[in-house]
Amino acid sequence: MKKYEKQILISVDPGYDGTKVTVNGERFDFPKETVKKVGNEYEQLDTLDGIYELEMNGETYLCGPNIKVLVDENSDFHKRLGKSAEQDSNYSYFATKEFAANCMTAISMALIKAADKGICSSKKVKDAYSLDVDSDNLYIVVELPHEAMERMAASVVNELVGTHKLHLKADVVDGNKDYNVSFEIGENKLLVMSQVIAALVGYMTDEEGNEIDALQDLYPTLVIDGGYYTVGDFSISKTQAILNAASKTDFGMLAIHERTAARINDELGTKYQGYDMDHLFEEEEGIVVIPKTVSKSGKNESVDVTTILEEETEKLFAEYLDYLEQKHNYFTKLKQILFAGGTGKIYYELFKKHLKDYPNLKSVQLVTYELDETTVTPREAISAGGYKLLANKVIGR
Amino acid sequence: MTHKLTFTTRDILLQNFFLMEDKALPISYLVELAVTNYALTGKYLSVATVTTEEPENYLTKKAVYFKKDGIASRYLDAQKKQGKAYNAVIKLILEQSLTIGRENRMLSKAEYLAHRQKINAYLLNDGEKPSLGLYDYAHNRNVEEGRPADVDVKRENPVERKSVTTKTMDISSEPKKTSQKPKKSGKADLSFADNFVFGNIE
Repeated sequence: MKKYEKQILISVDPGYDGTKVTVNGERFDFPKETVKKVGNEYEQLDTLDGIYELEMNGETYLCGPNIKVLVDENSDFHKRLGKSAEQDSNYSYFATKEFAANCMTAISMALIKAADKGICSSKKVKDAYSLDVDSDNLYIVVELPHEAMERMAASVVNELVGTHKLHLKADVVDGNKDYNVSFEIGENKLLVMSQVIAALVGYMTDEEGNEIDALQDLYPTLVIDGGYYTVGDFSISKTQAILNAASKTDFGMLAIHERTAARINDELGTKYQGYDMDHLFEEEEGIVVIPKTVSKSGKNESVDVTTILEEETEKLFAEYLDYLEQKHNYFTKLKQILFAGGTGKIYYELFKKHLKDYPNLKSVQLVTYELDETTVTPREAISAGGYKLLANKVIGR
Repeated sequence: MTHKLTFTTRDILLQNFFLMEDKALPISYLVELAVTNYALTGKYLSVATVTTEEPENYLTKKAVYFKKDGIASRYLDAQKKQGKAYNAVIKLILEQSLTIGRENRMLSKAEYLAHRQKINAYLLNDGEKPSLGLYDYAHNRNVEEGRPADVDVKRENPVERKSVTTKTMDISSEPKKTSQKPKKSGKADLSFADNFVFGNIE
């Protein structure tokens, strides 16, 4: 983690596949899923491993690395999360209390990590650690899908600007602890920026926002940020004009997951939703167990559905490539394509199979670079890019 | 028609030029192929570029690659041993049309595309290492187009290419370690991003 004079720079990428955070160059992430605790769903929540509890404005929210397990085990949570997925479809998620709670958890965790590195101080008062944050030197940037900027950026600012007094129970540094985190986010200390633009900024600047020669004059360059829900794209010309910037929800991983869930349901008689696919393929390794009551053999049957996911991914990518080709004149004017984001990495691999169709392209790159002595993955590239924009504006000015 | 010969007495990979047959295909891609082909096969020796001024004032640049164990290379070696100047020998070869034969020839667009396809497949670990020399491509093209395999294919309608870029194909998912050095002192001008940022930092 970089130590500047006093400044703490925090970048939050509230992606649908997880909230990615960069604090003074150091990166971490945790699931986006956040649910309000409305009753005593789990009386002994303290004992649940990997569940964080945030108290904010008199309400309690649950999130953390094991939130998906908790949601899977609790039908009420599952139902509420399904409702949240509906809000995703029009970006109204960014105006919800759940989004604000997730964002505040991200900022609190970043400050706790900064305190652990001596960048701000903390002291133990009774059973909780209390953080002393210099709000004058606290700078925040939040990255939103490109299409959501116009409608939701002001809403995010309204939600985050102000004084916050939070209580967080979480395992951030050395086990589960209680933290009291108070800070103020000033209106002139907060930026909201487009995710796909952040991907490019990260690629073309160093750790402190200095210009580097990453684009190597390969203009026009097409930049693609593939996230879980949205996929953004634009081209940048030699004059650094941004052209045709847009983000589409039709080509994100969620769209692939929805199609995959529909096919699995068709073939196996299951009742999966798109948002269940992440858990199915991450935790269950793509194995669906059909109960003996409906299986043909009369026994429990395990069916590997990874092929369905692969096929649906390739199909959707073909549609996306068609969209890109039409939008960018079959890439005839392009010199370079950059892929960022988790879904961007998958699309990068698929695009390589089509390279022979575009011999005019000089370079096809996955956006990944070194930051804070570690490698920024394509999935982290948005958060890291936003952080670099902050560094460009704040450090050494 | 005027011919101007520029010799490349050492192999500076990014300074080689190949014949252009199609305006839609920038010469830089042919340079890339030349470099990649040379790097992968090591079978060709870049000896010269030929600039031809066409009646329409077009300029055609051609790179001359001698196959290392070909007739022209052997002739060149023999002449050098007799004390003849390198440049003079190459010029003699070209003027006497000993070169640009099937062993010492230039890439056509079709050959370039075919070779590039193989290189891409190889780079993506999805194909065999391209080991065919230029002769093989000429041979294959002749066969495909119904000519005897050993007939040299004449160029038709060469077009001008006045400048080249010297980038090599870059397909990478590796972190950009070397590119993180500042290009200029001071902060990058990121004003292009301002239209896509909400809020101000003070």
